Amino acid sequence: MRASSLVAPLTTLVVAGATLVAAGFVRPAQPVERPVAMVPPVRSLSCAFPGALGTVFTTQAEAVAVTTPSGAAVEDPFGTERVTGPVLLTRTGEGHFAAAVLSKAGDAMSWTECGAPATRGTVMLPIATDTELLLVNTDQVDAVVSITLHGPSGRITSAGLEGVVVPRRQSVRVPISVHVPTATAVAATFVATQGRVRASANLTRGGREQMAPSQARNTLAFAGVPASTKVRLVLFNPGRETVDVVVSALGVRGRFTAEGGEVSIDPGVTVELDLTDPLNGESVGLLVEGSGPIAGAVDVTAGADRVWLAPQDPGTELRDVVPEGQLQLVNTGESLAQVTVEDTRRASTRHQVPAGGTATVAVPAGVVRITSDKPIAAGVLVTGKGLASTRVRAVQNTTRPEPGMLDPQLGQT
Amino acid sequence: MTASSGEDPWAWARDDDAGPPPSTAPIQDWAWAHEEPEPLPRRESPEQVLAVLVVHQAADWLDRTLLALAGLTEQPGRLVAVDTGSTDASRQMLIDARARGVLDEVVEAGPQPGFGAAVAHVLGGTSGRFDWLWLLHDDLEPQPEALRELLVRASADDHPDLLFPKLLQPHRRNHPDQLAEVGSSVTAGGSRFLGLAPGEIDQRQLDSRPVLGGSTAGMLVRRTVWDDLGGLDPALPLFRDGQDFGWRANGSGALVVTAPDAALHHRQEGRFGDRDSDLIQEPAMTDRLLGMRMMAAHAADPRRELARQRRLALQRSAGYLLGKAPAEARAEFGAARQAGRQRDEVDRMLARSGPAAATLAPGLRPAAREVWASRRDRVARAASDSWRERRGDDPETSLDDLIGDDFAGGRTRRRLATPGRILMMVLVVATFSSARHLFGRGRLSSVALAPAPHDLASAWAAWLQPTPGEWGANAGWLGLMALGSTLAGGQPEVFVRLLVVAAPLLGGLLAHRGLRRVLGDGWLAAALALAWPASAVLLGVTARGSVSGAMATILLPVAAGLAVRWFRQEDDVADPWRVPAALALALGFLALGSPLFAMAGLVIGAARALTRRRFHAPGLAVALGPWLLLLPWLPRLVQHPGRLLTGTDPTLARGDAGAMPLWMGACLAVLMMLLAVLGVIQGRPRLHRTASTGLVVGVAASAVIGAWLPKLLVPVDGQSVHPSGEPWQLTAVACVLVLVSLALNRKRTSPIVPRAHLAAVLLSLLIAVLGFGVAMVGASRSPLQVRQTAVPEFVTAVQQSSRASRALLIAMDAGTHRWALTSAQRPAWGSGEAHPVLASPERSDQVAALAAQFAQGTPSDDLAARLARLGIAHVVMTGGEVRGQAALSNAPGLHSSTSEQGTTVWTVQGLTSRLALDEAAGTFRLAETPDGRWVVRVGGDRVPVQADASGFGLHGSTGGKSGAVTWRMATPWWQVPAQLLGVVVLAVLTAPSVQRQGARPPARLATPRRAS
Repeated sequence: MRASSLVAPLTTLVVAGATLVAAGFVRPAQPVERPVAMVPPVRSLSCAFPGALGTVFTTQAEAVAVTTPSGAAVEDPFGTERVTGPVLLTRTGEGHFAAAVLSKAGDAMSWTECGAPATRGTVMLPIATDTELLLVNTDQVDAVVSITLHGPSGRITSAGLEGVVVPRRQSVRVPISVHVPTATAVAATFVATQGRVRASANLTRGGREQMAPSQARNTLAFAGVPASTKVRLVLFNPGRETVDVVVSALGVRGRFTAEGGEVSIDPGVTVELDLTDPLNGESVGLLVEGSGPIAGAVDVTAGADRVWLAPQDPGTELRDVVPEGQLQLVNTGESLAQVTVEDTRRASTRHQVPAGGTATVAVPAGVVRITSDKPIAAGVLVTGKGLASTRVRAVQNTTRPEPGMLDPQLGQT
Repeated sequence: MTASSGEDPWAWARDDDAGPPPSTAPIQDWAWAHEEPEPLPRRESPEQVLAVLVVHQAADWLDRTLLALAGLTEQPGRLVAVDTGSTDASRQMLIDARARGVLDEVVEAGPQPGFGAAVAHVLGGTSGRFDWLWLLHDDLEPQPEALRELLVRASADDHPDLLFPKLLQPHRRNHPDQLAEVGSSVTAGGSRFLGLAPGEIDQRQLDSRPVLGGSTAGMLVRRTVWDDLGGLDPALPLFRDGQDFGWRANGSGALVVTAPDAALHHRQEGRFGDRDSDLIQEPAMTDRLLGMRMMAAHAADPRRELARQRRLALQRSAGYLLGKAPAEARAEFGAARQAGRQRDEVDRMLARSGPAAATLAPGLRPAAREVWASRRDRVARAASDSWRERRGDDPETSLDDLIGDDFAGGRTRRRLATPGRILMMVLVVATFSSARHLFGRGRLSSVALAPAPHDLASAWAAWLQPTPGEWGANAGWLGLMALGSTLAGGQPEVFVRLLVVAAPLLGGLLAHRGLRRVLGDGWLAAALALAWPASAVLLGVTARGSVSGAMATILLPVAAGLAVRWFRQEDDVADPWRVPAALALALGFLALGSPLFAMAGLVIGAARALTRRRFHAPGLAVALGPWLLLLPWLPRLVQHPGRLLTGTDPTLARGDAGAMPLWMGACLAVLMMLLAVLGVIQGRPRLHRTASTGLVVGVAASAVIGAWLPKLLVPVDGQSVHPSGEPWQLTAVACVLVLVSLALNRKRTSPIVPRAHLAAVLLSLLIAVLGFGVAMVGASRSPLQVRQTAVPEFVTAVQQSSRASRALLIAMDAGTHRWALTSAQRPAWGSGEAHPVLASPERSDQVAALAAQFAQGTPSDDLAARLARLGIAHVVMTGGEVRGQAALSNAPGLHSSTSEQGTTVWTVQGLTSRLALDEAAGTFRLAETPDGRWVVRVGGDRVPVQADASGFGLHGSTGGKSGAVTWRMATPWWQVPAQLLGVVVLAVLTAPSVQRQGARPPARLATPRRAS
């Protein structure tokens, strides 16, 4: 065999070696992200309204099932006065979903927000003697709820508030006057040790107001506080430390700190602030800023009418169903806000709301969408035979969650 | 006192001239050693012996027989030779012997039907009265004292009537005599029972004893007994005649004994078919046939015994067929057939000899345990011979073995620091050093290794219970793992640690064994063997915990060695199937983990056929044998062809963790290529061009494919995974080592080590230092670790309970999350052989969506219901703050708790189980992937189930039954037989061929036929 016979094998080896080295610099192909077919989310809203007949308003009529708590479907649910009691709205799909019920009791009209059941929360009761706590269980299992009341002196101990059983697809009313016989404001916190409930406070005398549950936050905003004869702000400190609170009024005169609006709230204590004089009968917005989480509500008395307002989170995009009335935009920020309001007729109007100021727009009943470059709060004042006010909540989109990465070896430390 | 070789150390004791001993006392003490034994009183005279030598076609060895007869110290009274129609030079040789006085008479008898007939012919024509008849075969070489010793025994006080001498195997120079037969008996199956150990050396260790019968070769019989019994039975013309005669003699009350002091070398030319004669066409078949006749003739119920013997023969025939002895199988079958056709022969035997004796003296027939002990000894001897052959030792015992001692050079002095021992020491130290962190509680896992099952039953279930929704059986390597776990005392964890950790050690030792065959037991073989496990370590096989890689590390050296042997083997060797079948078996076991190795069998088979330019049937074993082992798994491979390119548990591996750094890979590639270049250059003068080219192509192609293939993606059950480069890379390394070893295997004539050897050793050691250095230094950073589970114990307890629930694990990680679905069985071996989430990409999407809702705090109201429908009872979140805690808390049907370690566990309310039972309606639902192989039992009774319309889950009715509900995937009935079929077929072909007892001993081949 001649030396030339070495050329071919050696060349082969050299080429192979070079290819090996080249391969070292090439990144392995990565799996193409396959679109994951995510299951459509399901959201339920519970609507328990005062009165006998109601009309359901919702931001999304498609893919929404309306049933009674017992599971029976409501025929033509979005027709006028088609519901005769608490209903459950279940929507399958993504996007914004909010609902409310317009109900009548005699000549009086009531606008009641629908909300999701929860395992815990706080409901403000501006006047204990005239209020009942309504617990609605729309789930398939019984709920067991423990209620704690907090008054001006702190926690109120009373029998019968622990282990309240709310049977599946039924509701339970808890009269607060039994536990708090004085006409003071109290805060009711509830924890469901089993199941979940939609809790709300109903006024049993002097009106048909309903107070929705709320979560404690450092900042609370109230829009649509009507011009009235008496305004009370009820605040509750659910924490374990004292919270210092500053209450500001936001109106046509701009932002100002209400007299007597600077208080300290001890842990577990509910306080009442009378803002009648500082507000001087104006329709304003309120901004409550605390050094810690607080819950709150506004109790407005205008003649024989009574209006309860639940707090809201200022946002740049608000979307809710509202009754026909005057939409009040409240700029809780420090600079001018450019606001666009789109109502159910798809009529779009632009507004400038000064810092700490308010603006008013007439809106029809239905969906209203508000977009702003600055965080704002909004509420709708209804004036007719009576007085009513409702908040416009921030968009609560059910977004498409991003899938994570499958790691079959997960779980080994 | 010392004695030099050749001197008689006892000479001083005998030599009167050597001077007086130190004292007289020792002489008196040893006096007995010099006393001549008292001669036995002789009554039988050789003059009374008529010797009959029967000759037939014996020209090739007759001269040795005649020479031996001429050398007898005591000649028989008359020595008559009878030629039975020989057509060769036998008759002339007899006449010449007669002329020389060796024979007294030569009788021309013409063709005779058997040995007995020839003797009868002589007796009919011989005058004179002789008391004894001595029968001689033409291939018998009596030792000089043979007749004398026979007569001595015949003269003993017990007055034996029939004596069978000691027959020895043909004598071989420098080898001790081996016993062939000293009388014989017969087993219940009709086989000859010699009562000797295989290859037993004649050391005059046997005493005379009563015996059933024996060979007619050298048989000495009292003439009166001969006449009374009518001589040999003509129905047993060639074999078994001596046994039958002895049996009849015993039955008649005659004394039949062995005479082990009388020795004769017996060539057994007739039995081994070396005689050029028309009398015996098939000696083995004839022996079996006559054995059956004899057994029937001596049975109380001859017909029934004959039927039994035929049945046994058919069984043996099947056994021989399995044992790759078709000739023996044919002989047994033919004998059974002939015996059936010639039943009348038995009747004629009975008519001649009368009914069988009722009883025989105890001990004449072997007990069953003696027969089995004899068979066991034969197997042990065969195994021992095979082992010694593999070691290169002569399996035969030489005279040096018997008489040598340390001073006679019988043993070689053994060195302590041999290359092999040093190699083993290095491997053991490196293995334990790199595995020092793997001795804790927990379960071993890595990027390509799932944790071991909790118990042995789960390990077997991983193989035997098919994956729902997937075709065929589970991967074959799971069966090997289960088998290994069984052998490891039922501890899967112990076995997997041994396998993964010790794979380089075992691979190195096996590589050394293969290289030693080529290169000898030197430093070069040890160094190259060291490079093999080091390369495996550098390629990340150990760090990734790859089971298929570990299997390749161990078995590839074996397969490579067998491939080399097969390529070197001629087609006409004695057993051409053994090596290719062994190669197929090795490749088959490799293919159980990496199916690609089955393809390698096709390539190797085709390559050999091309190089030899002809088809060779055993090549089919290599080409198709590995696929036999894959039979049960083939449907799955057809379903997911991407699996052909991957290693074990392919869908488990994530990323390239455990892979070697670029610089390390480059070093290995460069060193290996240098070795290959060395092999090419050194192999030029002595390695066949085809072999050299083939190996170079093998190195280059394997290396290139092994480097580039893992860059790609292939689908396996809906998952995109990287093909495994390990099989290719390891094959490339193996090809380099084979190339170098073949190129450097020339025998050294000079003590100076060639430079090429030094270079190869140096390169190999560099690879070894690099590999084991990385393993030892980087052990703690290796992904191969013993880990504890992050799942809380209460979750694990529920998973392992009868609820058999699943758990969704979510790990939050810097804005993203990872997730997995676990159960009591997963992750574990085999989890990665299908899609790791319920074996379905679609179901995986569903679980991914649920995990995303948890991770992003946007729970759907039906979240708990969805979890429950999938049998998920717990969601475990680790590694970060839970987003949307309030929303998650409000999700219906879930209850959360947070541990001190920050792990949040959501429990689905309602004791979620994979089985949802509606007692009122008498129905149930199983959260399992639909499959027709589900077996659901209620109270032990099977109930039918249907698949849910949703595509996941099964439902059925309890049918009013009560009791525990159990469910499992039914093992396909054909899985285990199909798996065993492949293994057994290849193992049988790999095993040495079965040999019949008394088959030709190998030593006969070396025995000269003609006298010198």
